[in-house]
Amino acid sequence: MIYVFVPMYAEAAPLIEKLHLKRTELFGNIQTFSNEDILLTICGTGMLNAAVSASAVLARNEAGTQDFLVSYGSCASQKKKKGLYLLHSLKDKNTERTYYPDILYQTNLEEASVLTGSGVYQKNFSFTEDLYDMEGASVFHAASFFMGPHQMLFFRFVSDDGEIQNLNNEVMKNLSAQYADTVIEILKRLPVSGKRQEEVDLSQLYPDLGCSETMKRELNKLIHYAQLEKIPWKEKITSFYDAGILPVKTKEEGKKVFYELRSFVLDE
Amino acid sequence: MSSEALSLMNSFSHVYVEKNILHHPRTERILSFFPKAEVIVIERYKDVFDRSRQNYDLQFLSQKLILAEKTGTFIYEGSKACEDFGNEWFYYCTNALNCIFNCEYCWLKGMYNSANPVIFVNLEDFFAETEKLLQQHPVYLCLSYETDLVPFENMTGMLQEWGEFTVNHPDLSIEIRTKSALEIWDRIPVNDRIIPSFTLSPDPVIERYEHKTPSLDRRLAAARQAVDQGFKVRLSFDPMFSVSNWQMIYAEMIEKTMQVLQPDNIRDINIGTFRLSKEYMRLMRKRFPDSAAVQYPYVLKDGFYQYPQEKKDRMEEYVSGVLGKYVEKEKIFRLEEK
Ligand code: SF4
Repeated sequence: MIYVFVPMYAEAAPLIEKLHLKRTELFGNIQTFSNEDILLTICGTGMLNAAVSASAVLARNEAGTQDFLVSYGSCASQKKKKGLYLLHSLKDKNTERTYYPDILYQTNLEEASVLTGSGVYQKNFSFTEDLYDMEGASVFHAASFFMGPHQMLFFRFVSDDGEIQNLNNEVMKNLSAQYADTVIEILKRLPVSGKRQEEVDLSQLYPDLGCSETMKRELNKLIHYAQLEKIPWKEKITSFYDAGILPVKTKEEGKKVFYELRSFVLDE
Repeated sequence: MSSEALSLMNSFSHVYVEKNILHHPRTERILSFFPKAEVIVIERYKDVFDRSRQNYDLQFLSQKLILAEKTGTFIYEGSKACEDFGNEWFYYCTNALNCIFNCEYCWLKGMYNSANPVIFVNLEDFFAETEKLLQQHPVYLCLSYETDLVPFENMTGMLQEWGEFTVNHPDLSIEIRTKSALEIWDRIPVNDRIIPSFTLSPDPVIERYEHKTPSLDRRLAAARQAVDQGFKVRLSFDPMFSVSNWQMIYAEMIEKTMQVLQPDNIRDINIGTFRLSKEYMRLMRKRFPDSAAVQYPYVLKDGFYQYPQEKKDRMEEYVSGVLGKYVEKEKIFRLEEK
C-alpha cells in the first residue's frame, strides 16, 4: 500500500480526482480517500496534526516493510523558484533534528532541503534550508515508527515566498494540479518488494521422523539451508520413504535418519 | 499499478558531508570525483548512518557516500578472531566504515544498520594517534579492517599517504587487506613493513557469496602487480566455505595462485574457515533470511558460529596440506593453532 499524506483538501484534490480515489469513512476526525493501492489522508496543517494523522493511519493499517509513504503538499521558499521538489533532508525547527529519507529512485526532480516549523512563514525569520513547510519533519518522525527511510518520499511544490495574502484554496488547487501528474507517475512506478523464498511445509515429516521440539528446529534450519542452496533434499526424503526407512518406528531410528539427511545436505 | 518500476539511482549519486569537514582538502579531493553528485551537508554522520529500519540490501544497490570526521578512538586493539601473524602489538584502525563489495557473510552487516560507506577524511589525526602509540612500542596496524580501502584509493589517496607515513616510522608495519582488483600498487612505496594482503576465493565461492567483488583472475592480476613492484604479498584464504567439491575447487585455486604469483613472492598465508560472532550471526540471520552463507546450520563454539570442529579441521588441514607443497610450513598461519 502507498500511504499519501497531504495537509489540505485543496492540495490533495487533483490527486484524488486523477487517481479516482473514493472517500472512505471518517476515522476519528481523519478523512481518507482510497483505491486498491493508495490510501490518501488529509492530515491537516501543522506539525501536530500531521504527526497524529500519520501515526494513526499507519498504525491502524499495520503499515510495514512492504509499504511506501508519500508526503505531498505546498511550501514556501525564498531561494527556490516555483516548481516541484523531492526532499532529501527535513529539519524540525523546534528540536533542530534533521531527518534524511533515502534517495534511491530516479524521479528526475530537483532536490531540496526543508525546514519544518509550527507557524506560517511570513518573512518573519530567516533560515538556511531551501524550503519551509509545516508538516514534513513531523510526518517523517511519526512514520519512522513503522517504516524505514527507504520507504518514504517527500514532495513539495513552492506556493509562495512568504507573501500569503493571495493564497486561497482555489490557487492552491490549481498549483497542485500542475504537479499532480508527475507525482502520480512516480506513485505508479514505486517498486513492489520482491518475494521471499517460500516457506516449506514440514508438518508431515515431523511425526514421520519422530521429531522432538529441538529436532524440529534443527530440521527447519537444515531444510531452509538446503532450499537456499538448491540441494535436492526432497528427493532424498522420497528415497527414504521408498526404501521403507520412513516413517520411523522409534526415536532412535528418527535420529539416525535425521543425521543421514544432515550429512547429505551438509556434505559431511 | 502496472507501469515500469522506477530505476535506482547510481551509486554515489549523493554524498553526505559533515559540516565541519566540508572544506577539508581531502573532502574536496573526494568530491571532485563526483562532480554530478548531490552534496547534502549534515551535522554528524551518525544522523544518516545510524537511522533506524534501514534496508541493507536496497541501499547496496544505490550506495551513498558519507564523508565525516573521526573522533574518539582512532586505533583499536586487534580482535582475537583475526590472525595477528605473530605480531605482539596488533592493532587496527578504521579510516572508513563499510565497503563497496557485498559479501553475504561480511560481519559489517551484523555490525552496522547502513550499507552506505563512511570515509573519515581527517587522516592527520590517525597519524597523530599512531605516533603516540609508537612512542610506547612497535605497532602492527591493519588498515583495511571495517572496510576494503583499496577501491576508494583513487578518490582518497589515503593508502599512498599511509605508505609514506610508514616508510618514515621504522617501528610501524601496516597491512592493507583487499579483495579489490584495482591496480594501485605502483603508487604505494615498496617497503618490507608495508604488506599488501589479498583475500582469495575460488570463483564458485565468489559467485555465490562475494557479490560485486572481482573474479579470482582479476584479484591475482592485482596481486601480481604488487609482486612486480617488489612487494612480497600476503595471501588470505579466509573465510573458506564448504561448497560442493570444495577439495577440488580450493586445490585448483591454489595451483592457479602459485602459477601466477610464484611461491617466492609470497610473504605468508593465512587460512581459516568461516566464523562469525554469536551477536552478529543472530542479527544477520534475521536480516538476511535468504542468504545461504549465514543460514548454514553452524555450531556455536566459544562465542563464534563456525563449522563443526571435525569439518573445520578437515578443510583447514586439507588446504594447509596443498599449500605446503608450495611454501614452507612456517609461512602458513591457522588461527586455531595459536
Ligand atoms: S570485501 Fe571485506 S569488508 Fe568488503 S564486504 Fe567483503 S568481507 Fe566485507
